[in-house]
Amino acid sequence: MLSEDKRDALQEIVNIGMGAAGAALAEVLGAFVELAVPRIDVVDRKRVPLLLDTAAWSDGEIEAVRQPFFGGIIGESLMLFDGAEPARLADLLGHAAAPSVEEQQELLLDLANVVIGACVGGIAEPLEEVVSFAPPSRLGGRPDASAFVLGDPADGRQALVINVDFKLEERRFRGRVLVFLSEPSLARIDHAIHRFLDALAS
Amino acid sequence: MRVLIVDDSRTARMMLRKVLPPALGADVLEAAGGSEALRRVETERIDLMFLDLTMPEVDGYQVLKTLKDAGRALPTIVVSADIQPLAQQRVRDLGALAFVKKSLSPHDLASVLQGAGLL
Amino acid sequence: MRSPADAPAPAAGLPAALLALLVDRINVGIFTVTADGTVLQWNRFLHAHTRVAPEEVVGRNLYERFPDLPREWLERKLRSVFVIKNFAFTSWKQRPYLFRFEGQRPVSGGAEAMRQDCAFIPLVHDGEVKAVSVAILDATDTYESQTRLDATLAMLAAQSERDALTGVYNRRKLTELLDHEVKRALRYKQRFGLLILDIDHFKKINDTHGHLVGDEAIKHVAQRAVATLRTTDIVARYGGEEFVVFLPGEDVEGAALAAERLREAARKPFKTLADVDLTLTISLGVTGFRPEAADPKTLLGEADRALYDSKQGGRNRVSIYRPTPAEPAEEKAK
Repeated sequence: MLSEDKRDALQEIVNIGMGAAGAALAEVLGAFVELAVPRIDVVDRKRVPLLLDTAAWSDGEIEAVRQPFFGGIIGESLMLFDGAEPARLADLLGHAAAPSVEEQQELLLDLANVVIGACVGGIAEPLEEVVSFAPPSRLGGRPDASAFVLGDPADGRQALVINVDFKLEERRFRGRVLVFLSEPSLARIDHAIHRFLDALAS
Repeated sequence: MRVLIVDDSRTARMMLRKVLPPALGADVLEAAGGSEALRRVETERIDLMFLDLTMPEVDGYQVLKTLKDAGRALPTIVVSADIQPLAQQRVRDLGALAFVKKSLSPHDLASVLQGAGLL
Repeated sequence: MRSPADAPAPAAGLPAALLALLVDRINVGIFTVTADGTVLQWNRFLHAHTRVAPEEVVGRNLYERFPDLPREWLERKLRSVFVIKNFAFTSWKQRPYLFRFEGQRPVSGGAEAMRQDCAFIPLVHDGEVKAVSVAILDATDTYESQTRLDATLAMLAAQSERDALTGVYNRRKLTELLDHEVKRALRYKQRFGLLILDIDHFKKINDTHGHLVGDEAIKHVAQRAVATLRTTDIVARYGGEEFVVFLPGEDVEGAALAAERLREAARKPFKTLADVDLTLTISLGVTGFRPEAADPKTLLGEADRALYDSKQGGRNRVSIYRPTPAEPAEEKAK
């Protein structure tokens, strides 16, 4: 599913949403955010872990924050942080000293909440869907991002995976937002994109 | 007026075509990336360019920089989802005429064109 | 961006006064502030817990009325909601509470102050955040079950790596620790010594005194090992009456000295539960980590061969594995 036209439309919608997310992030962090072109995949759910390739990231642990959303479209979003060591977080926060463990966790949760809110909200808006968010929660640190996603090998259902990389200029800090939409929402978003394209063509 | 729309997304190009004021009398051409845009600018007469920033390979910043380095003064309006104030500052420094944020309304675009003296 | 808080639908069935009543009576703390910190709303839950009535706080500055609030943090949090126009959240896991509500559970005990989860809700109208409502949820129950769960998990984790009889590490954990130690020694060019020890004539102890005393003999050796060695040394029960010890930072000679102390400590008489004085001896085999023998299996095999030499040499002794095959394993006299 998802024809080439629809994929292109969704990519542009995500691009716009991510622009808002980047601006929100820049506002919170007071730094320029470099955005990459978003990637859209519709895959079997069991293949989702394969999409989380972080081979190019640094050797340290990858921290993840998860946030479910619900409403017109239902799914969950994962934000991965590379290089979330205390010293870099202290730099981000503008702290001289290393922040406490709780402060670090809070910062990551806040960052994820801001970026996911802007990104998912930005996708929902042009599609005329309203979404609400559950509180974000930490999944902890793992050496490999695929450990955050349970790929059920018996699961034949599909998922829409939106993948956006961003990094902060000058400060070595990198992140990725993943938005997962499950099958029922997939049909709904497909329909919404159809409407969107129809309106564009008229 | 020959107008070149540069964006890797077909949807984005369609969205822009749709909001171009008819009064502009535009003859619209398209390019799906930075290198194609530079090639067309090189070989064809282009009066006005709408340029996206985030594109794979050659991005909008590189297009602006190449034109600036070549001393080529082509009226360019950047159309981008990246709405960080610093991004707007940078494209102005690279010689862009104006910056409009995606997704733009016909009204927004008309006022930008008027402001630039193109309408 | 449109937010779920935007454009409140006219409450079709519910008049505004009743809606206000619901917000007031709900079992969640709710207050609303403007960008400059002026309180617009203060519900009954907050009234009850802070003992500050709405008329004492509405229209006033939040931080002036509650100087104990973490002002800098809260202002930053609220500002981000005004700017970004999106929900924000906090959890008791990072910040136990916003307002300190004391003595929630005089009967059941538990948390000394209410644990709180907060949601910051932007009230958007015409694309502008007019005010932010903060909803405070009592998360004390979650906190208490999480605390109990954490304690249980920590206990289970500890149990799953310990031998039930002796309390030293079990074989599974030994394998894991030894793998780790080999990698570490390779990476940082460190050394460590490894020993295997075994109770002499254990079958005879069992046959003479019974299995319960046999168990006590095993416990005795474990206790002597833990008491004699450094806290950084790792002691694990490897099999029935067999133990493995590794000593980070020691070369093979240092490990042999420790083995000798251990041999001495084990042969001191001990009292069984049946008040019988019992004396036993142990045999030990020693090897040391070398980059060319950098895997647990090889090292355990070497120590085991040295142990065999001790047994062959008459027991109650320490033998060292010598790497050159031409050179027979040298015995260290007791």
